[in-house]
Amino acid sequence: MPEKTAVIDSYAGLRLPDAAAKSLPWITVKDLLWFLYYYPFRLLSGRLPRRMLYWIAGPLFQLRFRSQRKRAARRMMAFPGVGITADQAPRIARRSVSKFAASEMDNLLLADSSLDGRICCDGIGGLDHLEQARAAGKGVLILTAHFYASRIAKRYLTKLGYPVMTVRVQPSSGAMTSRLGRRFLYPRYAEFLHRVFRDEVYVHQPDCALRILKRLRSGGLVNIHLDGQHLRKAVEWPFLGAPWRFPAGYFELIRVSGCRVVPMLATGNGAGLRIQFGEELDMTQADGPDEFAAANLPLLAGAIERQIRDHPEDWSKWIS
Amino acid sequence: MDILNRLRAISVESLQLNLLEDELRGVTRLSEIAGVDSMAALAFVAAVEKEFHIVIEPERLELDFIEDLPRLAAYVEARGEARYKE
Repeated sequence: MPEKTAVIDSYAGLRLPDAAAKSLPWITVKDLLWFLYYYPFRLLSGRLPRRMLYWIAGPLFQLRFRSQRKRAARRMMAFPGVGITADQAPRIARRSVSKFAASEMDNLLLADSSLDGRICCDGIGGLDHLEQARAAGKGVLILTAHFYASRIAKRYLTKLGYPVMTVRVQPSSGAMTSRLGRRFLYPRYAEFLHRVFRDEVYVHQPDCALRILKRLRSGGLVNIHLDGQHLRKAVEWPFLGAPWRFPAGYFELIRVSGCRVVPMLATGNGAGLRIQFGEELDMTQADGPDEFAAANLPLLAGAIERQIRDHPEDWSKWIS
Repeated sequence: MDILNRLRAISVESLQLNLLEDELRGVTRLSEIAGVDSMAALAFVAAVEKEFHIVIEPERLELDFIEDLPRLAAYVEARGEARYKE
């Protein structure tokens, strides 16, 4: 299938050199688990009820990610602005891993477009805010933090007639830790993620900003995760009571495009999704890129801070 | 200064390149003088729009087109809104 080949080939540049791969073991437990996830679990995902998949995956993820869960509890203490106490942290970390498990099961659903009809939405609020912002005709930047339910929410919105482009980091073959993983699983992993997101642009692509601008100027919707920390130019600002580096490029896109910014909160999972749009954010105008970022960062960061404070277990950055 | 030369000058300014006017002579693609990454392309577009008081249409927002200075100059001219700096 030509389309499939094209997708796999587009990841060629992110494959690590062969010399680095030669020192790796042939297979690792991590890569074997991914193989099991990609083949048997994926085949099961279309046949089993959602909640049963979550029920199976939950304990397995708690076991597999136990060290990450402990680290997450410690990380919560490093962000005093969330307001989590030392007693609460282990419980929230456990719930976060359960939500992580559910989101990984939902990815299996998202990778198969024939299963889109199985997404159950318990409620969607504030759609009028999105509609109003879209009516301005300059495109809408949907502002989110890294929440587990964001992916499934975007697919649900697409189904409703609101296609959303996602801005994300391209996965590298370093995600696989064995020779077999890098040679055999990585292309499938990359292709799988492409099928999960579909409408996406990668931050490292040289035409990334132009593609976002193009979508916005066409009156479209683009989702950014403001809490991403992987961009070339960053602006520092306290976030949840700790220093944080925010991507400066998003602010320049907002300034140049004149788009509207609407926060979105997505919680739950594929068996019970809840989406809430907030009121459009009132941006302060400024001439230069740095001035614009400085003037508006507190507003945008504050919007996602509130979401994380209200739903700390839904924030995937504790675990990842 | 014609539009093409003006675009060359804008590229130096917006991409913060340390180049002299002589070094720009004959340059037709941005990639000849700088590595054009995502944000550099956006900075260049923003500077061109500000300079010529235009908004580049969505269908023209392709890296290949933006990098091609003679094509971009022809586009700016065709929009009929180019304003030359004295």
